[in-house]
Amino acid sequence: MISKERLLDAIREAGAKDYAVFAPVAKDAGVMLEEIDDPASINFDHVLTVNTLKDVGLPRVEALAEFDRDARTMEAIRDDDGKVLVFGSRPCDAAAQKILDAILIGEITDSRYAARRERMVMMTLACSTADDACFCSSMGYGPHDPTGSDVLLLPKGTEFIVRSHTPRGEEFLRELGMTPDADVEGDPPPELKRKVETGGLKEKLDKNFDDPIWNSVSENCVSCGACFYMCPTCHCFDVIDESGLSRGRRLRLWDTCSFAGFTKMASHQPRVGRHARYRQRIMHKFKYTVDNVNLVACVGDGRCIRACPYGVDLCEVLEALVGNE
Amino acid sequence: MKNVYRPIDAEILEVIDETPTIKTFVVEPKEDIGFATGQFMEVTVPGLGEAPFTPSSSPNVKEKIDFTIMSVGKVTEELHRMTKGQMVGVRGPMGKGYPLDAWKGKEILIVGGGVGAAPLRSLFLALVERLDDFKKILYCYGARTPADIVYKELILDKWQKINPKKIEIRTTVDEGDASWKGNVGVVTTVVKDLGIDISNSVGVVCGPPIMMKFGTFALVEHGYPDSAIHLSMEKNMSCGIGKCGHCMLGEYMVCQDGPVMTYDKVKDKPAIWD
Repeated sequence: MISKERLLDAIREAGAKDYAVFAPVAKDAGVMLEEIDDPASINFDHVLTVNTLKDVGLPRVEALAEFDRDARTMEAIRDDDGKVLVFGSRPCDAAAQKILDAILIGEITDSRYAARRERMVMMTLACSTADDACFCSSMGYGPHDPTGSDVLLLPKGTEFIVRSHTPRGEEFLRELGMTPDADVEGDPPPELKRKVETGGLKEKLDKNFDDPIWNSVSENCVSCGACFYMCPTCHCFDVIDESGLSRGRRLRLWDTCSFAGFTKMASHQPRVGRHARYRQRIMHKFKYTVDNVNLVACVGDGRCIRACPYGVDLCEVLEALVGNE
Repeated sequence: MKNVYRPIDAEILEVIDETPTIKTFVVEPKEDIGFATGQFMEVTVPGLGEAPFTPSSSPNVKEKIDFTIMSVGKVTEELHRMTKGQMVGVRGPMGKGYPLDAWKGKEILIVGGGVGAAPLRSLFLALVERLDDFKKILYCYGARTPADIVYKELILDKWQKINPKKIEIRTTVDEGDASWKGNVGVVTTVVKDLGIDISNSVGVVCGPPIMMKFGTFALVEHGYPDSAIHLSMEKNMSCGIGKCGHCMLGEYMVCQDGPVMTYDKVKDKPAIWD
């Protein structure tokens, strides 16, 4: 067991050992996961951070190379090499990281992402509270689930039980002089009110591409992309050059199948219609990723439900798809 | 770890006008970048971006690579303004090409259209360079008008003379002109009387979406099994390494699972002709 004060000291020490520390801090927009200088600023009371771990491992904008348009040169930018501690993410976000790993690292590896992941330690804070949008347990995870965490901290009263779940976690604890706790039970996890039954969903999606249900479930979607920006597993991106500059950068930017231009080629556009774009998002998460890496690309964090300006509720959509004959 | 996003510098050695909208760029990569015929590369114009192209030269030529490119978007329009001596970037090769080794002893039917002639030139050269391995090549190519035929000299003349016993080339145009003495009609109008033993044959289809669809249907009608029909799928590839999501076709990432895919793999995928 470790007290909050000693935990903050340990994070301070990690900072002194050259870890860049990302942690939840309260901002005007809500609690954000950001790089911090002072562990005293860490917020412990939120349900979830507004942003996700994508901001650490797969940033919304990153430079891959620098170009000189007149000289016609393009110089690649080196991968980052510093150590990173992500403190205080929730179990759903850690689980999402593991899904991103399965997709982005593998037979062919996204070298930028893999370089970051190699030097990232995930110290996750198990949940004490949940809100109406949380449905992680329906996706096979839970408020105290260790998936994706190197170290999991389980709340017990005002203190935390320390559990290491990976060799990297063990090494990190040793580095900071912390010891994992065995055989101690923490506070019980919060009850989730929201539950969604997804049994049979994959089999439905294997067959319902042309079903009219895609028109009805996407009726309220305006293709704004908010769900994608908030989603911890949505990982699509584009590679573009900063335009109109004689010297600029080649950027990797988040991009989404919600946007009409996503599939557009100079010569033609293969995916037309809002329903087709919404269908792609659901299919990618609940069918294609299962086909490819045997994982559902959803952890039940509920951010898409909280963020949607038109009340599109993923759980209702999933239920409609499962129930549709 | 290899930086998968780093383009290799390549100097433009020559620019060849093929049609009013299509040019071939012969480039010399400054580092080794081999490829198998049918694989593609991302070509960089610094400051404008990257776009995917399949080389049109033989995979057996290592020191220079040809790209035959239609001017149709911002990267290709800028490429068309570029001249000998200027630099581009190349990244790749990516994905899966044509499985030539599996085609040994077979008769090969190629159906192509428009700028689909580019990957098919690479394929044709690769086949010809090991012609003993194959029994026959029948190449049916269609263009919109006679002026739109890519590689006129090769398709209408030189390739016809390589080995008339083993290689037959048929051409057609959608609309003829005063000088055109050949067939008029879409490419499928010359995909008939094949003189091919279908049971020992593979088919290749490469061209614009509508031609891909009807070319494939024609091969199916001729009795080609779905697994013997090789399609070159075209999508908006961005990363080229199967991660960015732009080129998805069902669960496939066309940039890695393709771009060459057999019809049995994709026929049940949604919206394959779109």
